[in-house]
Amino acid sequence: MKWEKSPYADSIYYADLFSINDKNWMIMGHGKSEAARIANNKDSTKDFSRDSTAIAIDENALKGRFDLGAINLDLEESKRDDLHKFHKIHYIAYCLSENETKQVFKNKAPSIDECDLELMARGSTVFPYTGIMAKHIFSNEEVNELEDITRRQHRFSEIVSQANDIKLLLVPFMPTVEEKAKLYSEYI
Amino acid sequence: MNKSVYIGIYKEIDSNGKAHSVQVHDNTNSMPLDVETYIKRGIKPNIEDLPIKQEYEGKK
Repeated sequence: MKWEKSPYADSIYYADLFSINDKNWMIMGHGKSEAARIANNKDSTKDFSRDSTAIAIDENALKGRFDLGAINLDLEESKRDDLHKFHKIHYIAYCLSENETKQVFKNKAPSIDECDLELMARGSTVFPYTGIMAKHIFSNEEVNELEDITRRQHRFSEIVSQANDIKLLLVPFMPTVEEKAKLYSEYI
Repeated sequence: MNKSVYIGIYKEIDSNGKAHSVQVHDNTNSMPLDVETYIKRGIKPNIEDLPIKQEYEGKK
Protein backbone atom coordinates (compact mmCIF):
# COMPACT_ATOMS: atom_id res chain seq x y z
CA MET A 1 0.00 0.00 0.00
CA LYS A 2 1.23 3.48 -0.82
CA TRP A 3 0.40 6.15 1.72
CA GLU A 4 1.39 9.75 2.35
CA LYS A 5 1.21 11.72 5.58
CA SER A 6 -2.01 13.59 6.21
CA PRO A 7 -1.41 17.29 6.89
CA TYR A 8 -4.22 17.06 9.45
CA ALA A 9 -2.88 14.07 11.41
CA ASP A 10 -2.52 16.25 14.52
CA SER A 11 -6.23 17.07 14.74
CA ILE A 12 -7.89 13.66 14.39
CA TYR A 13 -10.53 12.51 16.88
CA TYR A 14 -12.70 9.45 17.41
CA ALA A 15 -15.81 10.90 15.79
CA ASP A 16 -18.38 10.46 13.03
CA LEU A 17 -19.60 13.20 10.72
CA PHE A 18 -23.22 13.03 9.57
CA SER A 19 -25.58 15.49 7.94
CA ILE A 20 -28.97 15.50 9.70
CA ASN A 21 -31.65 17.92 8.50
CA ASP A 22 -29.04 19.92 6.56
CA LYS A 23 -26.83 20.46 9.62
CA ASN A 24 -23.50 18.66 9.92
CA TRP A 25 -22.91 16.92 13.23
CA MET A 26 -19.49 15.81 14.46
CA ILE A 27 -20.44 13.09 16.94
CA MET A 28 -18.10 11.67 19.59
CA GLY A 29 -18.50 9.52 22.66
CA HIS A 30 -20.53 6.40 23.45
CA GLY A 31 -23.03 4.92 20.97
CA LYS A 32 -22.35 7.58 18.39
CA SER A 33 -23.15 5.92 15.06
CA GLU A 34 -26.40 3.96 14.85
CA ALA A 35 -28.85 6.61 16.09
CA ALA A 36 -27.27 9.28 13.89
CA ARG A 37 -27.44 6.91 10.94
CA ILE A 38 -31.19 6.47 11.56
CA ALA A 39 -31.65 10.24 11.98
CA ASN A 40 -30.05 10.88 8.60
CA ASN A 41 -32.31 8.25 7.01
CA LYS A 42 -29.30 5.99 6.34
CA ASP A 43 -28.29 8.30 3.51
CA SER A 44 -24.73 7.21 2.64
CA THR A 45 -24.16 10.42 0.64
CA LYS A 46 -24.52 12.37 3.91
CA ASP A 47 -22.44 9.98 5.99
CA PHE A 48 -19.15 11.85 5.62
CA SER A 49 -16.87 10.22 8.16
CA ARG A 50 -16.86 7.29 10.54
CA ASP A 51 -14.71 6.82 13.61
CA SER A 52 -11.80 9.03 12.58
CA THR A 53 -12.44 12.68 11.81
CA ALA A 54 -9.90 15.47 11.33
CA ILE A 55 -10.94 19.02 12.14
CA ALA A 56 -9.57 22.33 10.85
CA ILE A 57 -10.53 25.98 10.81
CA ASP A 58 -11.23 27.91 7.63
CA GLU A 59 -12.05 31.63 7.95
CA ASN A 60 -13.62 31.03 11.38
CA ALA A 61 -15.71 28.12 10.12
CA LEU A 62 -15.07 24.70 11.59
CA LYS A 63 -14.74 21.90 9.05
CA GLY A 64 -14.13 18.18 9.28
CA ARG A 65 -13.23 15.22 7.10
CA PHE A 66 -12.59 11.49 7.22
CA ASP A 67 -8.90 11.01 7.99
CA LEU A 68 -6.84 8.08 9.29
CA GLY A 69 -3.61 10.04 9.56
CA ALA A 70 -2.35 8.97 6.13
CA ILE A 71 -3.77 9.13 2.62
CA ASN A 72 -4.07 5.99 0.48
CA LEU A 73 -2.39 6.79 -2.84
CA ASP A 74 -3.68 3.54 -4.35
CA LEU A 75 -7.16 5.08 -4.54
CA GLU A 76 -8.07 6.99 -7.69
CA GLU A 77 -7.39 10.70 -7.16
CA SER A 78 -11.01 11.80 -7.64
CA LYS A 79 -12.27 9.14 -5.19
CA ARG A 80 -9.53 10.04 -2.73
CA ASP A 81 -10.45 13.72 -2.94
CA ASP A 82 -14.11 12.91 -2.39
CA LEU A 83 -13.32 10.63 0.57
CA HIS A 84 -11.24 13.33 2.27
CA LYS A 85 -13.35 16.33 1.34
CA PHE A 86 -13.92 18.83 4.15
CA HIS A 87 -17.46 19.60 5.32
CA LYS A 88 -18.56 22.53 7.46
CA ILE A 89 -19.44 21.43 11.00
CA HIS A 90 -22.46 23.05 12.66
CA TYR A 91 -22.62 20.97 15.86
CA ILE A 92 -20.08 19.02 17.90
CA ALA A 93 -21.88 16.46 20.02
CA TYR A 94 -20.60 14.19 22.75
CA CYS A 95 -22.76 11.11 23.45
CA LEU A 96 -22.88 10.39 27.15
CA SER A 97 -22.79 6.83 28.47
CA GLU A 98 -25.71 5.61 30.60
CA ASN A 99 -23.83 6.43 33.84
CA GLU A 100 -22.70 9.83 32.60
CA THR A 101 -26.31 10.62 31.64
CA LYS A 102 -27.50 9.81 35.18
CA GLN A 103 -24.79 12.06 36.63
CA VAL A 104 -25.53 14.98 34.31
CA PHE A 105 -29.31 14.89 34.18
CA LYS A 106 -30.09 13.40 37.63
CA ASN A 107 -33.91 13.61 37.85
CA LYS A 108 -34.35 15.85 34.82
CA ALA A 109 -35.77 14.46 31.59
CA PRO A 110 -32.81 13.82 29.28
CA SER A 111 -32.46 16.13 26.30
CA ILE A 112 -29.68 17.57 24.15
CA ASP A 113 -27.94 20.27 26.20
CA GLU A 114 -25.16 22.74 25.44
CA CYS A 115 -21.81 22.46 27.23
CA ASP A 116 -18.57 24.42 27.38
CA LEU A 117 -15.41 23.92 25.33
CA GLU A 118 -13.33 22.61 28.24
CA LEU A 119 -15.74 19.74 28.82
CA MET A 120 -15.98 18.97 25.11
CA ALA A 121 -12.18 18.96 24.79
CA ARG A 122 -12.02 16.37 27.57
CA GLY A 123 -14.67 14.33 25.75
CA SER A 124 -12.60 14.46 22.57
CA THR A 125 -9.92 12.26 24.17
CA VAL A 126 -12.05 9.74 26.05
CA PHE A 127 -11.09 7.31 23.28
CA PRO A 128 -7.55 6.83 21.92
CA TYR A 129 -6.12 8.51 18.82
CA THR A 130 -7.74 6.94 15.74
CA GLY A 131 -5.27 7.90 13.02
CA ILE A 132 -4.47 4.19 12.62
CA MET A 133 -2.46 4.60 9.42
CA ALA A 134 -0.21 7.31 10.90
CA LYS A 135 1.96 4.75 12.66
CA HIS A 136 2.90 3.22 9.30
CA ILE A 137 4.31 6.46 7.94
CA PHE A 138 5.20 8.81 10.82
CA SER A 139 8.23 8.19 13.04
CA ASN A 140 7.75 6.64 16.49
CA GLU A 141 8.45 10.00 18.11
CA GLU A 142 5.86 11.68 15.92
CA VAL A 143 3.27 8.99 16.67
CA ASN A 144 3.87 9.36 20.41
CA GLU A 145 3.27 13.09 20.02
CA LEU A 146 0.12 12.53 17.93
CA GLU A 147 -1.30 10.16 20.56
CA ASP A 148 -0.53 12.39 23.55
CA ILE A 149 -3.80 13.20 25.36
CA THR A 150 -2.74 16.63 26.63
CA ARG A 151 -1.61 17.70 23.17
CA ARG A 152 -4.84 16.37 21.60
CA GLN A 153 -7.06 18.25 24.05
CA HIS A 154 -5.06 21.44 23.61
CA ARG A 155 -5.23 21.16 19.80
CA PHE A 156 -8.98 20.53 19.93
CA SER A 157 -9.55 23.66 22.04
CA GLU A 158 -7.19 25.72 19.89
CA ILE A 159 -9.10 24.85 16.70
CA VAL A 160 -12.68 24.93 18.02
CA SER A 161 -12.18 28.21 19.91
CA GLN A 162 -11.60 29.96 16.58
CA ALA A 163 -14.94 28.82 15.16
CA ASN A 164 -17.91 31.14 14.93
CA ASP A 165 -21.40 29.74 14.92
CA ILE A 166 -20.63 26.34 16.43
CA LYS A 167 -22.70 24.61 19.11
CA LEU A 168 -21.19 22.16 21.59
CA LEU A 169 -23.77 19.61 22.71
CA LEU A 170 -24.17 16.76 25.17
CA VAL A 171 -26.41 13.96 23.93
CA PRO A 172 -27.91 11.74 26.63
CA PHE A 173 -27.99 7.96 26.60
CA MET A 174 -31.44 6.76 25.53
CA PRO A 175 -32.92 3.28 26.00
CA THR A 176 -33.28 2.74 22.25
CA VAL A 177 -31.44 4.05 19.20
CA GLU A 178 -34.78 5.20 17.78
CA GLU A 179 -35.38 7.50 20.77
CA LYS A 180 -31.89 8.89 20.43
CA ALA A 181 -32.38 9.39 16.69
CA LYS A 182 -35.52 11.40 17.48
CA LEU A 183 -33.45 13.73 19.68
CA TYR A 184 -31.14 14.46 16.74
CA SER A 185 -33.99 14.87 14.27
CA GLU A 186 -35.88 17.28 16.49
CA TYR A 187 -32.91 19.37 17.58
CA ILE A 188 -32.84 22.85 16.06
CA MET B 1 -10.78 1.75 26.02
CA ASN B 2 -9.80 0.45 22.62
CA LYS B 3 -12.01 0.93 19.58
CA SER B 4 -11.44 -0.82 16.27
CA VAL B 5 -11.16 1.52 13.33
CA TYR B 6 -11.13 0.11 9.80
CA ILE B 7 -10.41 1.28 6.28
CA GLY B 8 -11.34 -0.61 3.11
CA ILE B 9 -8.43 -1.54 0.83
CA TYR B 10 -10.00 -3.49 -2.07
CA LYS B 11 -13.08 -5.57 -2.92
CA GLU B 12 -13.50 -9.03 -4.41
CA ILE B 13 -16.28 -9.55 -6.94
CA ASP B 14 -18.18 -12.58 -8.24
CA SER B 15 -18.69 -13.54 -11.90
CA ASN B 16 -21.59 -11.05 -12.11
CA GLY B 17 -19.38 -8.19 -10.96
CA LYS B 18 -21.05 -8.01 -7.54
CA ALA B 19 -18.84 -7.40 -4.50
CA HIS B 20 -18.90 -10.31 -2.02
CA SER B 21 -15.95 -9.48 0.21
CA VAL B 22 -13.91 -6.44 1.19
CA GLN B 23 -10.34 -6.47 2.43
CA VAL B 24 -9.95 -4.04 5.33
CA HIS B 25 -7.07 -2.82 7.43
CA ASP B 26 -7.56 -2.18 11.14
CA ASN B 27 -5.20 -0.94 13.83
CA THR B 28 -2.78 -3.79 13.15
CA ASN B 29 -4.06 -6.39 10.68
CA SER B 30 -5.50 -6.83 7.21
CA MET B 31 -8.56 -9.10 6.95
CA PRO B 32 -11.60 -9.84 4.76
CA LEU B 33 -15.07 -8.64 5.79
CA ASP B 34 -18.39 -9.56 4.22
CA VAL B 35 -20.16 -6.77 2.37
CA GLU B 36 -23.10 -6.55 4.78
CA THR B 37 -20.81 -5.98 7.77
CA TYR B 38 -18.73 -3.46 5.84
CA ILE B 39 -21.81 -1.38 5.01
CA LYS B 40 -23.38 -1.71 8.45
CA ARG B 41 -20.20 -0.48 10.12
CA GLY B 42 -20.04 2.47 7.73
CA ILE B 43 -16.44 1.70 6.84
CA LYS B 44 -14.87 4.10 4.34
CA PRO B 45 -14.44 4.39 1.39
CA ASN B 46 -17.82 3.30 0.00
CA ILE B 47 -17.59 -0.11 -1.69
CA GLU B 48 -18.26 1.32 -5.16
CA ASP B 49 -15.16 3.52 -4.80
CA LEU B 50 -12.79 0.67 -3.88
CA PRO B 51 -10.55 -0.94 -6.49
CA ILE B 52 -11.18 -4.58 -7.41
CA LYS B 53 -8.56 -6.94 -5.98
CA GLN B 54 -6.94 -7.57 -9.38
CA GLU B 55 -6.69 -3.81 -10.08
CA TYR B 56 -5.22 -3.24 -6.64
CA GLU B 57 -2.65 -6.02 -7.02
CA GLY B 58 -1.77 -4.80 -10.51
CA LYS B 59 -0.69 -1.46 -9.03
CA LYS B 60 1.66 -3.02 -6.49
